[in-house]
Order: sequence, then C-alpha cells, then structure tokens
Amino acid sequence: MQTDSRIRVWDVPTRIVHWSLLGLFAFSWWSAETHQMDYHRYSGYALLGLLLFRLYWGVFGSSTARFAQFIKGPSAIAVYLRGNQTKTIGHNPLGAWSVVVLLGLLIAQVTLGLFTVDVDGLESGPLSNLVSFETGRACAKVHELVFNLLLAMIALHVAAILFYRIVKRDNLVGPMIVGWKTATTSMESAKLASWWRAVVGAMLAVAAVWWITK
Amino acid sequence: MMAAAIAFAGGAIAAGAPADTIKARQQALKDTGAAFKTIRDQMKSGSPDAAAIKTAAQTIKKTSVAMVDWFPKGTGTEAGVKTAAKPEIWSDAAGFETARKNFVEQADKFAALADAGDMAAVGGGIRPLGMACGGCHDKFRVKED
Repeated sequence: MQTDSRIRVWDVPTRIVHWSLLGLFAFSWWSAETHQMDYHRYSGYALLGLLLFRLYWGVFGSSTARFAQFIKGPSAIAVYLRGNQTKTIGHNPLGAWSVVVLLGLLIAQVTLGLFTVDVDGLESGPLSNLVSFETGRACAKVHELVFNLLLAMIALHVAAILFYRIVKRDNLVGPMIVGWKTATTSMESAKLASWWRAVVGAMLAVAAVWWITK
Repeated sequence: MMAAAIAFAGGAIAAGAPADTIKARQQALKDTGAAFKTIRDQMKSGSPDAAAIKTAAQTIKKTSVAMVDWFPKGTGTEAGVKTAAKPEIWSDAAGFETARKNFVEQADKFAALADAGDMAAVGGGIRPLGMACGGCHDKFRVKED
C-alpha cells in the first residue's frame, strides 16, 4: 500500500449508519405513502436504534465521528469560509452543523413517530398509549412537518456535495463509501475506535429500542 | 367531549346549517377515533380495563347508529367548510349505505363482545371493526397525507 496518499476518514460503523439512515429514510417514506404501517413502524425502530448508536458513537467512536471533534463555533466557521483553515479530515466546521441539524431532525422525527396516532385511532406508534388522542394527532401533524424539513435538509446536503464535487473538485461520496481518501497535503488519518466499542454501542442501542417499543 | 359525542349521537343534527352538520360530525368522528384508541391502549396495557372498553365500544356503536343522519345532501365540499367527505357519498349512495350498514353490524358485534367482557374475544374483534371503519374511509373520505 502506498503510505504517502491513502488516509482513513470514516470508520465502518459511521459509514454503515450513514447509508442505513438513507435507506431506511427512503423505506419509511415509501411505507408511509403506501400505508404499510407495520413496515413503517419497523423502519422507525431500526432508525431509532441507528440514531441511538450514532449518539453513542459521537462520544465513544473514532475521532471523525465524535461531536466534540467536529462541532465548532462561528469563528471556526468564518475561518473555514475564508479558506484560511489548515486542511483537516472529517466534517468541515460548516458541514458539521448540517450533520447536527440532520441528526436532530431525524431524532425529532422518530420520537414524534413513537407517539403518533392516525385519524381513526387504528394505527399508532408504540408509545401512543401514553398520550391522549389529541396529542397523538398533534404529533402526527408535526411528524409531517418535520418530514418536509428533512427533505429540504437532504436536498441541501446533496447540493453541498455536488458543489464540492463540481466547484471544489472534492469527492465527498467516495470516502463515505470506502472510508479513505487520497491526501493532497499532509493530513492525519482518523483515530479508529476499537471494534468492541461498536459492539457495546450496538448492544446498548438494541436493548434501548427493545425497551422503548416493547 | 365523550359526553358531547353521545348527546350528539343520540340526537338529530341534520336539521342545522350544513356547516354545523359538518363540524358536529367531525367532532363525533374524532371522539370515535379517540374511543378506538382507548380500546387499543387498554388491550396493549396487559391488564385491560373492561369498563373503559365497554364505554368506548358504546361510543362507537352510537356513532354507527347515528351516522345515518350525518351526511345529508349539501354537506359536501359545496358547503364551503373544510371537509374530507368525498362526492361519492352522494353519487354512490348505495355503496355508502352498504358500508354504513356494515359498520353498524360490526360495531354492534363489538359492543356485545365488550359487554361479555372476554378480553381475548375483544382483542380478536378489533381488526374486523377497524376494517369496517377503513372500508368506508378508503372509498368515501379524502386521503390524508
């Protein structure tokens, strides 16, 4: 292997979570539109597990997955936008906030879904028994709103990726698939978290989903 | 709200202005949805409250019986109020009537199950009752996105 060029950017768990979120978001959309509410519920449970894992991984995961590593204040964003920043791998200071917003909206969406009730009181999320019919209906309406916000954010996300690809000649999709990129300047690889940490996180996420939806 | 639905279910509202008729039936149907949720929540709880299920089943039954008066001509979209009632209610009056009668029948059966208090039977009765609701909604109500 050429030691001079390939650097690790995203670890396996982060990549699996990323593409699974996309796939399940699409599946949730389809199952809602076609009124297959059993599928829609299971898809939501899987998303819940992935999001819980991602929160855990944001604290205990590899360096580029950690919130403390990539969430930065307005001054760092300003420096980045002026192009003065030394090149680093992982989320850039501005893109980091789109990640935060996307994850936040997804968490809000899944949480609302847990309490949502349909207009007939026939189909509902697993925690809807904790709220009144009116509250469950209100959740359904906000669930619809947040879905539209998510579509808008995903469009922005894709537009940003295209901008980097076309204008800045930086392929962001490749590293999210294979995990590494070719370094142009001296950049350090991400520090990978050990596999057992991922296993622990996955088990915690599954246990939490089981407990919430039982 | 439950009381309002029951009072409403017992009386005739068709004589009022179309907008009032629409609003009254919407409220009653919302209360019916809430009653259905009560039944499902109770069944899910592991120790269902038979009395609560019985009351909810009565609400649904009253809706099914009273509904015959809830869709007089002129209470569709032409009334100028927001309503999910499709024109098919009047253009396919026979189909609507069949769906309505099916609801009356299923709601009556379910109320009998709730009265008998056998929770396993009540649990089994939820789906047929839900399908009676859905059978009408699929054809005669505007789909909610």
